[in-house]
Amino acid sequence: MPLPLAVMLLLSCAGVGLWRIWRGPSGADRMLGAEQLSTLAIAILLLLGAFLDQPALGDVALLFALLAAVAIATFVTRTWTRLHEAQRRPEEAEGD
Amino acid sequence: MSNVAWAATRLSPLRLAGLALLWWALAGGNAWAWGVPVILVTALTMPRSGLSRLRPLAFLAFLAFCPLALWLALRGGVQVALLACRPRLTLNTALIDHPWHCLPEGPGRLFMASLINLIPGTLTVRLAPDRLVVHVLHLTPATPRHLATLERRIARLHVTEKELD
Amino acid sequence: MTEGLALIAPWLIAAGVGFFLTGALGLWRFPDAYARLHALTKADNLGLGLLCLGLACQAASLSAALKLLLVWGLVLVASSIGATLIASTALARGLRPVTRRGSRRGARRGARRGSRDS
Repeated sequence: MPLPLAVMLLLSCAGVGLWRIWRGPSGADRMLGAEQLSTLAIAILLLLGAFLDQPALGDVALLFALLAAVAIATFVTRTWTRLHEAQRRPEEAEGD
Repeated sequence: MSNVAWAATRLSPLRLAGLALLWWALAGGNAWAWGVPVILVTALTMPRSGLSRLRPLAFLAFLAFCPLALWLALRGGVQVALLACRPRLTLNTALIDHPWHCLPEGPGRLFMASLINLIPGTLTVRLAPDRLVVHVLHLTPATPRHLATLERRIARLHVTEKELD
Repeated sequence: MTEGLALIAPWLIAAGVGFFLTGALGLWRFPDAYARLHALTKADNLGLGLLCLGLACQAASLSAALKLLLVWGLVLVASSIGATLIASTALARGLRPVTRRGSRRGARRGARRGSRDS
């Protein structure tokens, strides 16, 4: 597969991710869109790094992979307190 | 004296080898003048991981488990791809409970919860002390049985056969 | 050996791009956030895995190939743990999964839990 075609296809996937971030409807959906964009960014960087013979782009992709984990953790800790109190209630009510 | 013992557990050959491999991949094969101090400092400061708490033989079992996990991930991807490509979207999604049978509390359960996200059609929604709430993309009668089989396989990494039965 | 690897590399990369496309299709078409989560964690990870494998086959040195696999491993761990985190956060915030027919018990439980949490 020629490189421009592969990168173009990946970019069109990124379009779907952007549309999902714009459309929502929930925060989780927007986070999914962002996660997909970061995965696609890694893929595109790796492809370009290999075919343009620029190994430094591989390091950039590695950094993106590290940041993806941090981004998800941040999203979750922002809503963590709500998660915690909501998790308590069903536990108590389960016994009836 | 205890300092020596502490350093000895931190500087086990396996950890050093793993870190050296990591450095070798990151630095592209050379730059060992920087690498050796970095590896030593990292080995001393890094907390002990869940992997090192496995039974000694279980490390080999863990390596043997990896191909199975990759195979399941491959099937998971193919299934989702096929479902997404169907002209008419007929999904039979459901939330099911998977009660814990044999896996003890601890890293094993976390491992299973993350692995479930990769295998065909299942997604962990909640990790509770007594059960796992699983979101199934396309429920078939066999799904609960598959989950039980997977749990037994993972449990084999963490407890001995005798404790299992 | 090396020639054989170089021969299959483009196919692996093409398959990886294909999985990315189906993942995007799933993200677009699936009915609720949970189903989309399935599409992303499975299809995109597999796509990136095949892509990394394909590039690793062409890589100049063994350490470069290992670095590519390291990228994949990181993404795999991050997104498989992240999927559970996102799903449980969504459930706790009262986002109800769309369940059609399916197992009665599952559907009812889901509905009950959803209404409690909101």
